[in-house]
Amino acid sequence: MTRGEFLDRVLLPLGRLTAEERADVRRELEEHVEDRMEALLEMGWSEELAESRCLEAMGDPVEIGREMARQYPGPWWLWIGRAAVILTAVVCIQALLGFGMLGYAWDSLTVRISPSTAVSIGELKNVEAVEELDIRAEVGNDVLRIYQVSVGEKDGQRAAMVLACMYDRWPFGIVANGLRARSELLSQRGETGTSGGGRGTATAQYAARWAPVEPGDTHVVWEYRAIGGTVRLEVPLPGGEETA
Amino acid sequence: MRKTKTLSRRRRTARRVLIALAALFLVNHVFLIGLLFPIQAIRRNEEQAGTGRTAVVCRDWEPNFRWNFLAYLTENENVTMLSGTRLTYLGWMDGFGFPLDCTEEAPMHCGMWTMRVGDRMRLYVFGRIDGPDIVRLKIQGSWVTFGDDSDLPTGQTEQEWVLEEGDWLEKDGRRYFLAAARADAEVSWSVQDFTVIGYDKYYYETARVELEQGMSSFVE
Repeated sequence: MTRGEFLDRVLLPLGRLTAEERADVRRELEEHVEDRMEALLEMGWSEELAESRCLEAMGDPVEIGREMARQYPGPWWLWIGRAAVILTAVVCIQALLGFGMLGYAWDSLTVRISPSTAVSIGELKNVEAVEELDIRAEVGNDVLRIYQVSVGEKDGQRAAMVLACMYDRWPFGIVANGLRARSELLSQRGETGTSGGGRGTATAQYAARWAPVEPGDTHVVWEYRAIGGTVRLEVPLPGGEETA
Repeated sequence: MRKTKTLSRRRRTARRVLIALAALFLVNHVFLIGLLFPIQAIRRNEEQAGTGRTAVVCRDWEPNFRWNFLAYLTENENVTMLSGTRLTYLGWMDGFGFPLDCTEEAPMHCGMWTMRVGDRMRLYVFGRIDGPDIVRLKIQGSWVTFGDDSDLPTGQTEQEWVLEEGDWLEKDGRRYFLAAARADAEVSWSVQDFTVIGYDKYYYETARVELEQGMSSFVE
């Protein structure tokens, strides 16, 4: 029996294999035969005799085929594998088409590491103090973070301006929108500024609010109206606000 | 001699499935697209609205309005939300959600949402009924449509629903309602204020909510 005939007989019980699988099996068996032949050829056997001896030693080809068939169960595995390939292809195409969405991932990272200070409601004049903060509160799945407070003059009165951001607990997660609309900054007397600023994307929200302050004020309060409750964060003013 | 290890069918399939899942995870969570199921988009709407996890009360599909659009009424203890999702080449997409804050005590919490696709409009009135005496609802209102000359109305449609207890939906021991109407909007429309009235079993009015023009969305 030649090598080709042997391999054909092995593949006989493997009728349900795909063309690719049959080629893989054939290749593996050929390599196996050649491995065995190599030893005999080194001992001086002729190629024809070595091949014949190896094939004989491997055993009944049909039995080998039946054993190998067990590695290739029913068509369900095949269809699942093909579905997985199609899904991967579709997902890759979607990723190419939606490449611009990576901006959200970038926003999610920057808001955590270095929240933007390019959020304002007009400049504070005669800025006396600026302080970086890290005051956080969990609001459902999100984190509300106060990261900067500054004191100066706004609309002709002494004012404190606070910057806040919000992001999901998990990196790249979606954050609740409307941080600016749902937030207010209150002085110790319950006064608030007349305007606010902010911007946001699906993964990062920023807001800026100001409130009038007076000498002796030690803090302002950031209020965020979430569904189901209000979150209040006390924001200390720089230096306890000892202004002349 | 090179050795090529042939993978069994199971292993080959397992590897393909793992690669597919990893790609899907990456696209879902980093690109925020490629959602396979509409409920995933609704979960996104929840995140954006800050409602917390909600449970589905019902789903609305009106193929004559938009074949690839689904509206979901969802709820939890604090919120009743109507949100929508549409199937696109990037998978199911989120983007529309109208949460109704139900934390304050009231016999009814109601909301209204209109959407437009081309010359078709869909209007939803929805809410939660907390008043134990309320056994019947009447929802009434109207809209005016305009043609090319936006100053001159081309028609007015009165809309009324009467919903008995059997028409309501129940979830987690709470009662909800959802009413929907479809109209052809021509160039534009103006929804007049809708009113939801609750009646007890003796047909006495026990609660009334005036709905202002609620959320309005233009669906591409």
